[in-house]
Amino acid sequence: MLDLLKKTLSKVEADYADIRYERMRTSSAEFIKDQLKGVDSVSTDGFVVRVHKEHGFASATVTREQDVPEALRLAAEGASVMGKSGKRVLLADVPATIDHVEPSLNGDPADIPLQDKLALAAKYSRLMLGMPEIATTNVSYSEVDREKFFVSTRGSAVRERIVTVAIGGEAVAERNGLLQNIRVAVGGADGFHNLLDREDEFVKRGGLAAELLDAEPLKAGTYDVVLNSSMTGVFAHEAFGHFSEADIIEDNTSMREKMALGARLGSDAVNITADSTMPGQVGYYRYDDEGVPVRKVQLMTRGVLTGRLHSLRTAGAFGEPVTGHAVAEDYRYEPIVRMGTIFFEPGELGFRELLAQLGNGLYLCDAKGGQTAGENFTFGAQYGYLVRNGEAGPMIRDINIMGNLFSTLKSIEAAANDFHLGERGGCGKGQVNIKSGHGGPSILVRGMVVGGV
Amino acid sequence: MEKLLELALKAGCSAEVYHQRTRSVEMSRREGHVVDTTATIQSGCAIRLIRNGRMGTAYTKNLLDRQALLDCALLSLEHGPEVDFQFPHTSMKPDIGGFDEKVEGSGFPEALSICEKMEEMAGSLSRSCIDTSAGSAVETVRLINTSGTDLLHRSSGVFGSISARYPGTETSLHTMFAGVSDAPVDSESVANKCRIYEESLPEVGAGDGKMQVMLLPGSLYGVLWRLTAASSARSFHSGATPLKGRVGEEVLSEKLTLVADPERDPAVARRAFDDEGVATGRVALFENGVFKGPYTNLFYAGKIGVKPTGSGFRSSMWGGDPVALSPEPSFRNGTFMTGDTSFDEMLSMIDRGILAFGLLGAHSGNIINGDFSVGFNPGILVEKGRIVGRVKDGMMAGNVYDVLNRVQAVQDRPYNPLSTRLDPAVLLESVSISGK
Repeated sequence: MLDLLKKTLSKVEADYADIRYERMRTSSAEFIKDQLKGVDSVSTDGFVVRVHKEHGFASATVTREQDVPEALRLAAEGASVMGKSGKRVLLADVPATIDHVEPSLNGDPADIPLQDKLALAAKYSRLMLGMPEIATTNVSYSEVDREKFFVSTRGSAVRERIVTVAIGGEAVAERNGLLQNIRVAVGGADGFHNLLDREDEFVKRGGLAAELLDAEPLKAGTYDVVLNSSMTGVFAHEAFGHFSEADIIEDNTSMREKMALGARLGSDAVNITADSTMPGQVGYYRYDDEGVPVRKVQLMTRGVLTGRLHSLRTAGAFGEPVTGHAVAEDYRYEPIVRMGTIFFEPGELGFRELLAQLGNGLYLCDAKGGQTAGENFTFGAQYGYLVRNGEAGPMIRDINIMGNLFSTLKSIEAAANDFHLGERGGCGKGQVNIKSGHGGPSILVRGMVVGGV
Repeated sequence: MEKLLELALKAGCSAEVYHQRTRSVEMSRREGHVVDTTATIQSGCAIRLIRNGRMGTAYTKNLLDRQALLDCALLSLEHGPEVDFQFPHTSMKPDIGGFDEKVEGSGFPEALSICEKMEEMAGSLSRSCIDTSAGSAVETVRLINTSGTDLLHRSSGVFGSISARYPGTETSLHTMFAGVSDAPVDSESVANKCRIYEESLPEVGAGDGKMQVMLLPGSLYGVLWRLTAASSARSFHSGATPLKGRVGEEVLSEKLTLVADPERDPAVARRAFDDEGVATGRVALFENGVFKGPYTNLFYAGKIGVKPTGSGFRSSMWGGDPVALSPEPSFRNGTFMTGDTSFDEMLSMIDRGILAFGLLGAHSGNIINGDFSVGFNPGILVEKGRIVGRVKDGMMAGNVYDVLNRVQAVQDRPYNPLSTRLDPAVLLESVSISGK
């Protein structure tokens, strides 16, 4: 395949061009309660081409090999129009890479019979469904096996296989018409073993859903809060992380000024790192979709901006080193700058010491989706607790927090030492990235706007 | 496609084959420069089999080996779910419009022209705060099944979108134009949005408390999402819906009627049949506030014992590839019916309140219960009927079955700055707001 791609590129007249071919095998199944809703096990493929000419840079994606010439024509047309508009794209110069990477898996899901995968998901669904006050469950098995072949006119030729597995869903509890739900997810990128013997996790999540029926709706207002590791991870990803993706700020003059390397943006407690080289994490990979090896990047050190994530295009635009963070969802998309594994680094306080430092406020647990619009962010907590005099008290529900990145970074007072990374990724920046892992310790933030009811 | 059906019949199955092909180009401009161009030519084929009351599914983007695809579907069928439906026989309807073949050849120069036209209309607004995008798409869907159905849908669309971005932020006011043959760019709409933008430049605090909120069409999806999640036959089948046992009950304000009606859809979004070959038609979820019943695809229609509503589409909350997705109940293009109050009249009815032009975090929260707790993106503060500024760090929270019973007015004109779905603005009283 690599030879075929090289031959295709050899006909392209451009300053730079690359082509990525992907074969993707997926298996999925969904149970609603104890009933199977659907099951798929399929294989498919597609091509992505990119052309840099006349100072413009554009992409096109196709599914059929016979459409590749038209894709190259469209990409060249797009690049030309961009260049003529005055935009000058400079691609960072990187050495050619030639490599073939196979994942190290503890249990290759490709070797596991489909019926065993279904049985496992069904077992976890039934476990939660059998718990008191659980009205329904929704549990899905998901397996994505991508084999990528990348070739560029600079001589790179990289083949890498990436396998991600997950079982996830939700438990919904009901009492007198009140519905409360809790999400659950287990998985990883180093094999099927991540999914085995996880009964405790599903039982714990089902129990939390039932407990929420007795939780008090939170009154909207401004609170001091402790975020648990899941919430901290989403903060690192949603509020800060997207701004560390250089393509987000590449064409925003004012944000580029605010996000200058060396700028003090947060308190001394803020240390944030992107590291997709950590084996076993959902965000793990060796080469991005530009054939660049990924490297660890210290994004913020004691509140000072010390790094950002790049593609070839943004590294060229900022005059900074490449980092290997240009990642596409699959064969249908051009790569864009993505985080992979991002986390807030732990501090030295024990969790109880952190609550004591909070005094009065909220302890918010387990993220429930987030979104950013520029420097403003919002994300939900699945549940939480009122904290009085450093002690967690009654459970609360209906929690969403909102804030401004820059003021919140300065309001982070302390981080605990209870570091934890999540098992399942998911980010919808134009494309869905199942390999966006995140986490951190519990952190204390002063003065957050919290929407309740 | 026909050969696939033959193979399926030989395997003792009834079958449906769905084929989709799209071609699209899209361009984004920022501060007067083209910053992104993408083109896609995607196609694919999906098959569903039914044998002995079980269903199997499979898809491929490249139909190179029919037997391999069928084998995947048969493996799926071996373990697959029990189903209570058969593939329907549906006759092709007369052409419903919505396709212009000249769009097939449309490319980046045409998109650039639309962007430049909109930027010109923004007039005095600085280039540094104007973003535009434009593009075109052509889609062909063909669906055949062993019940004799053979349906073809071709559509085209050209769009242009202009956003006025608040200084130093990524928060914008949007206006979108979409048509079958061309983007019907309208200078009056652009001028109105620019006026509101300029009046709302000062950043203000909204404070905490209850106040009026006008949900503009760009933010209505936040409440629609919760209503359609609860009204889906999927939720009725699982039992997880607060609307269980409430068919015929008035659960929203009588001012609200929520329907999906292909006759009302703009031509660019119209469909004569769903992705299972069931004819589409008017489906009312709420008629003058009264819940009329769930919308459904074939699978759940069989499970809960109701007629399919032509709402089975290969789509999901997060987009996805139609070929790879199975048909799910989808309240496609469902919109609120217009009322009788103009935007200016609604504005004058606000003593102190917020115009919600967009939301942040609408996907968070206990959606199935109808709860929401969302940020404004942006929210514009209005006092005594006049815009005073843009809300800083403001959120609104509540439950849709509560706040949608406090509707003061529904706008007399539908539009949408973000999609082809058209809604009027809805003015609510006494919504919980938190902010600095």
